Amino acid sequence: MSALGSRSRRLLIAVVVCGCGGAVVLGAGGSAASDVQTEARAAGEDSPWPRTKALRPNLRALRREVADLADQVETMERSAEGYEDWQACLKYVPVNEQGDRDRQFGYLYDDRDGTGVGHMDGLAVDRRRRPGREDYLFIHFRGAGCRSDSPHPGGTAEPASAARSYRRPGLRRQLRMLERKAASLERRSQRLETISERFDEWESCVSWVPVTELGDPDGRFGYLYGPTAGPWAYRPALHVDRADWDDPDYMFLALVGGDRPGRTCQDEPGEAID
Amino acid sequence: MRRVLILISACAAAAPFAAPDPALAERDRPSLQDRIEELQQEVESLREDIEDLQEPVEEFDLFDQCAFTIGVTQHGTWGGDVGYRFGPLGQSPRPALAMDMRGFGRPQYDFLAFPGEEPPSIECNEDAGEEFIDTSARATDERSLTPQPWRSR
Repeated sequence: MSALGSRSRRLLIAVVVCGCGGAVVLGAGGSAASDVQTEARAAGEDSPWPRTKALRPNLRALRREVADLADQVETMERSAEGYEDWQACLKYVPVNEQGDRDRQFGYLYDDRDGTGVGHMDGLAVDRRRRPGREDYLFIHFRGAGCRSDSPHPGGTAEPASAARSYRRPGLRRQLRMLERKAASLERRSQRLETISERFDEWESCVSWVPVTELGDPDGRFGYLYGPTAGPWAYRPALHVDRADWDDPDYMFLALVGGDRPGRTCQDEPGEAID
Repeated sequence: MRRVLILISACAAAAPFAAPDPALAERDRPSLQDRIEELQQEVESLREDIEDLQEPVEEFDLFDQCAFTIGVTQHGTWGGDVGYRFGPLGQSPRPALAMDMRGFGRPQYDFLAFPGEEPPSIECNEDAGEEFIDTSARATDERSLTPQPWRSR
């Protein structure tokens, strides 16, 4: 019994010693892990991440970053959605030049400056030619009513969890939410990229057509207008302004000579026609 | 001896509940840590992507600030009796387009246009936010003289 008691005592001591040793070892391990956590990250000065591996500061930094990116994406989405809205409102109208540029043939025009009636070129909506054969497709904006509000990416509803609870969730849940937000931002940025590519494709196919109105809106001079057999009046009309000595009234946007975004574009982006 | 063994077992069993288990924390932490680091990398890459998008998206805004619509109506008809006189003697009337920015009626078309002075990529948005006023004024109706900023249509 005494031998057994002595053995037991030695065993108990061994357990305690082992336990203490283990505790020391574990403690040291914990301390070492802590040291690792506080080890400065090899990051650039502008890194948004804290110089610690502790979870909470890193999660806080992630929250800030994701929120900042979300703001940026939202701002860009407003621009992109504005573009998508009005892009859906565009209608292309075939317009041809009537008469020749040398004014040997065309509409009758009188400047009433003593030079008499001559010929002048002009522009008219002209659907007689086959699609693609028109001189220009002017771009008509159909106006209010044609646009439908595009759905907000990701929906406009707040996450249900936000309405259910105001308590800050645990770290795992916070991280999961941030991962989801980041994934959503990724999708939204890809959508923005697609829209910007589409815009670039469209814009690079559009030409600027210099257009000026000739004639007097008050009817003192201009193009002759009226019935075939009957009195005529002076009216203004539009023509393509190729004059070098003055700016045109406006640059009309048009697809020129059969250009079609995504298919064929003859000119450099934004190029004015000669 | 048996009592000692029972005690050890009991201690071992109770240990996880008695105090925070560093081993367990260590086991959990790496997975969270890894996920955080992975997410940080994703966010960094996302930031680059979003920064790359700024310039293309600004193109929308530039276009938005520079473009406006001009009211235009076609007068006369094809094959009709009334129109702009066309041909050597003006015997065949044809339609033609004219500005329609006066009066109360709606023009047939609102064509997209930019100011005639310069391409929009240069300086048309210098005064972004200010209303564009046509100074080449031929008409007298101030409402009509102000081509509508693109977004406000």
